[in-house]
Amino acid sequence: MMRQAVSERPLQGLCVLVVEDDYFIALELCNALRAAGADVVGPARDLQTGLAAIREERIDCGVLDINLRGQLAFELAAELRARGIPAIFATGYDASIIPAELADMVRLEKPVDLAALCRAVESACL
Amino acid sequence: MDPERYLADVFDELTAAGRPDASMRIVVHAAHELADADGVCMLSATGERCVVALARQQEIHLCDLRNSGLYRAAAPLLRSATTSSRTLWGKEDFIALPTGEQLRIGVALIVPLNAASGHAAVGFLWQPGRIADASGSRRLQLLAKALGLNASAWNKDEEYAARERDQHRIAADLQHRLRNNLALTRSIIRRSRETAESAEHFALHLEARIGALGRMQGALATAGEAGVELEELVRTELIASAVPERSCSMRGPAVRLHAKGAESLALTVHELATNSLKFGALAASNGHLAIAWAVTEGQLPHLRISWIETGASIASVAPRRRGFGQELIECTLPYELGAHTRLTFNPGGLLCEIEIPLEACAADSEPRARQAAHGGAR
Repeated sequence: MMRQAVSERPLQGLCVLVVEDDYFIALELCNALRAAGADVVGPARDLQTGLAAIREERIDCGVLDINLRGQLAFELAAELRARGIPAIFATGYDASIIPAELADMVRLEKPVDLAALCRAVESACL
Repeated sequence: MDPERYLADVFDELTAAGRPDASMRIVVHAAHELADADGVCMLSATGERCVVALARQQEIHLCDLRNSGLYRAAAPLLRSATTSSRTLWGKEDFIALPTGEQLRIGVALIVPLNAASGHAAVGFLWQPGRIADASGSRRLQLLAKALGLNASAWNKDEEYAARERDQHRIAADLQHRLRNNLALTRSIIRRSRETAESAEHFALHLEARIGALGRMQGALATAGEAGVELEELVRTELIASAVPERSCSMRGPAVRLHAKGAESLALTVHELATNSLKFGALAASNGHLAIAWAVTEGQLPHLRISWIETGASIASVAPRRRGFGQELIECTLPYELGAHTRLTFNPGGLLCEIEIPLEACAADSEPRARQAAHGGAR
């Protein structure tokens, strides 16, 4: 059935950028997103790679770890926002570290519930 | 006893003690009047009714615990504070009065640091998440005056606020590390399952991997910013895997690794040792393992590590599919540390070569980088 097929791959056709500096965690996020039908951009392990991806690739949604080897990923969030692209934080930090202008972004706490991640990406792209 | 009455009494007592200040309006909010349904105190002009000048000199612990960051910063100070002081100190956002009355109160945190000199530290919160604004500072100074505390100490609330921010940052970092470690552990569990040959294989290897992570976390906690010595890391992992000392040698200069570098390399050494004990040189009676490392000179120094097995009785062959250890070396190290790695399956055993930019793994790479820059400028 059409309806079921859609719900099994709810992220079909979406390009999702993953920025995460830990390989195994990145792999886990990417695999979950791919399983839900997304095309994964990245994973990017640092700010520079993430910025390059934003400038060069088609991206429908970003999934961002906040701390990338000591660099904070807020610049990436702002860059995405400036282009009207939604983004989600997947982080070990609590909300207090997030700057006020990004406070409305969805924040998933690590360890990230992978089903919740896919749902969050789906609703961010609606 | 009525809390409001109690506060008024204390205030009277203070002003009667000869430390009055006509302009003193230290406003505190008693929750039985102000707290909303959730028990949260909102500070508003209309709500300003009760005056608190709680306690005599050095007898105040007045705490707003709604901000947990502040609470974390304050807890050690409170524990070390003088025990003779009366403690108005409760759970959560309650403050228990000595009479047993409970009063929800928001606003200030006052901690006597030194009973003899009257020095105290203060955190002031008018709103959750805000520390010491101008009106808060003014009120604190009035409070200090009223309490006859050393005024110079009160001028240090900036310093205190800075320390409090530091503490908050440390707590946030710790929280981040913990959550990250849990996430890492979970992803390793998942990957171990995907690469395992059987349930038994999965359980055995997973336990050992978590053991390696745990050892490294312990070492990092002890070492702190200074980082973990590479030789120590290698030795620890070999001992944990019960590698006989006579069958291996190691050689290399002192290199201290930061957290991420240490973690990834500890797991790598663990995987290599496990593999060698099962299939490689360490499984053979005459097998030998040499681990050597060096730091290359040049503009961008690298840490070059060689794991050299000899005397393996079974000719080592590349496995049919990539296992966890191989993925760690061929994918994780390049991704996380920008490493170049090579696995060579020689007849005598495995050769693993790892080259990592020093700045990506060493705890003390910054001074080195600066030295290099100076050298270049000369």
